[in-house]
Amino acid sequence: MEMLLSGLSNIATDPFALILSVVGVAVGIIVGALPGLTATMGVALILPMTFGMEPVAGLLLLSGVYFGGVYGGSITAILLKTPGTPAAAATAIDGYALAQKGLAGKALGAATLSSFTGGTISILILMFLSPVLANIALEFSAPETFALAVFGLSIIASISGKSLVKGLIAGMVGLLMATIGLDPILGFPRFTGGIEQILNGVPFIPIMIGLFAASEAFKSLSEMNAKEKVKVKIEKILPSWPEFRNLIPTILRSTGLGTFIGIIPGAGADIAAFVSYNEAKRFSKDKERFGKGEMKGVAACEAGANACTGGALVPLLTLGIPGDAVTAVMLGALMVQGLQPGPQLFSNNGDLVYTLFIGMIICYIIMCLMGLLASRYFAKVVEIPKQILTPIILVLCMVGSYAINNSFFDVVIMAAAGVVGYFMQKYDFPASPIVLALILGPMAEGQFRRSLALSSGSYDIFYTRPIPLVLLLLSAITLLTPIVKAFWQQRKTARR
Amino acid sequence: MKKVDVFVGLALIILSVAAWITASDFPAVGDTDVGAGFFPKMIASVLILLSLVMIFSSFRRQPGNEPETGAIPWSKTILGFILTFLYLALVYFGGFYISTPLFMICFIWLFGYRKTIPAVAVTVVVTLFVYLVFEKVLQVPLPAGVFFE
Repeated sequence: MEMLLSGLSNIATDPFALILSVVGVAVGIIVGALPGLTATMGVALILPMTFGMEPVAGLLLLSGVYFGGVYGGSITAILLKTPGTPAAAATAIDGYALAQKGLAGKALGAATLSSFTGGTISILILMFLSPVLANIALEFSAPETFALAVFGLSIIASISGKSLVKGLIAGMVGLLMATIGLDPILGFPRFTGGIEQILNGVPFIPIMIGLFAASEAFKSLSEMNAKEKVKVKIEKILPSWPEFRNLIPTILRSTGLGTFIGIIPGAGADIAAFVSYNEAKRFSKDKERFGKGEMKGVAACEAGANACTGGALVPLLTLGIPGDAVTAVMLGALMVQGLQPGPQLFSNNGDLVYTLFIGMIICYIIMCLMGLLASRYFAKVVEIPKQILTPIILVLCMVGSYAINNSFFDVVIMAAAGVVGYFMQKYDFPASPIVLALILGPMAEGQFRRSLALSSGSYDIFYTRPIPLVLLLLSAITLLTPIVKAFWQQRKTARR
Repeated sequence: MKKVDVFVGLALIILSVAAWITASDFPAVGDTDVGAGFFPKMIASVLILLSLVMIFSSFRRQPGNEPETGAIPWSKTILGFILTFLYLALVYFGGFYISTPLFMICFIWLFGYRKTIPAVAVTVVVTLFVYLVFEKVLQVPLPAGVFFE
């Protein structure tokens, strides 16, 4: 409680951080509203700008972009049926139907209020859950941390793509890349080819900028002629109290689901939105209205997707394990600030963490106000031609990757990652397992070898302790289930 | 059969074998540590296995089951790649402030946007914005170009 109060006063006396939160949310909403630009891309492009800032200000700027980016997709989903982000695809179902009925404003209002409620509650959950988890994680020693990294990797590689094999291949390529540089125990240089810049490992921020931002810009090269314009009229945005009261059970249920899904590594806002939508439909008395313009459909998706943000930050801050692409970029941001996410973060930088939590809630309040007052103006960004947007993104990719180390080497890495990422997308290889493997790989190897040092070389240490045993079993189940399922289905069809 | 999958699979197998051979020479110290080569070798082995699975499953898939990635306007994609690489090279040699406006104007014009005033305005605003944010606020110097150093 004391921490919260001091956090509040820290924020209140830091006008720069507050201004940056406003800027961050606005940038996030714009990025989210633009189809093809995601929250991940926004955070990756803004990250280099936070380099010289105070930690709180920089991280709130990025949180603003993150939250705004998740929410912003709903605006274009409702008005144009072109979801700005994958998560908003579910919002588009009922949101656009409402807009067609002339209720675009109401739908935007419901989306904004649900996003705000879902997001804020999830941050509150984060605030109270993470110190508890961090306390438990403080007891973790090498084998536990190793098992945790394996679990994170297995779940991410297996659900992030259309094909399990391709997801796993991406993860393995990332792991192999992660072994480049000095090895974590002996300090022996591996696969460096005499290049000095990669002695400390491949620089992963330029790789993230390349994979998540430059590749998207390259993808948009072939979509230059698509032009969109908002045609529907937007009337009153704020829903009446009875209308909102009607949505509350849906919002709360979706918030719970979204936060929980966010905590699981690998599952992101898009999954949270669809699961929340389906649950809202299942609980509803008249299911026929879903898909034809049901306000609850919009509320469920948005509350679920935004609740995911607070949830996804739980494993990142307490365990140092990013659950998806955005939080992987956020982890990069924390490390740029010299903060190592994990249980020690709460004991070493408790003051800062609580200031951040309060700041995040303020970000959501800003987002709510902006959404209610200005979503009709944010919708206008879709009229920006891609011919102008794409070169801006490419310039920012260049500048951003250069600025981290003042090194042109990083720019080359970024460009290479951008090209590779473009072709990966074309051929259904997911990009996020690579980045997560780059982060989790060194952690897994270092802790694995440290465990063996602890047990004087015996592998017993991984299955005689309860936590590593459970986590490793869970990883095995995650990896084997889809294979068994596929096998089963094949036998079924063969019998027929 | 998807040609790309087979090609990528073969390339990854070659890469993994190379990594495996290189990693065999990595040192191991003491009796408890598995050594610097253990992880790379494990990862390379799994990668070979997965690549084989991908190659075989791409043969087994029925033709026509999966539509080939349709007609991409390759000309535009290639144009964009070339422009970007020229831009990066120009930044390296000539510095940020010459290359960026040139790149933006060329890009906007070549991709068929022909309104002069917005194009110039955006170019100027972006260049100024980057200058202000990076050089002035964050004090991160931008590439000056090796010709001018």
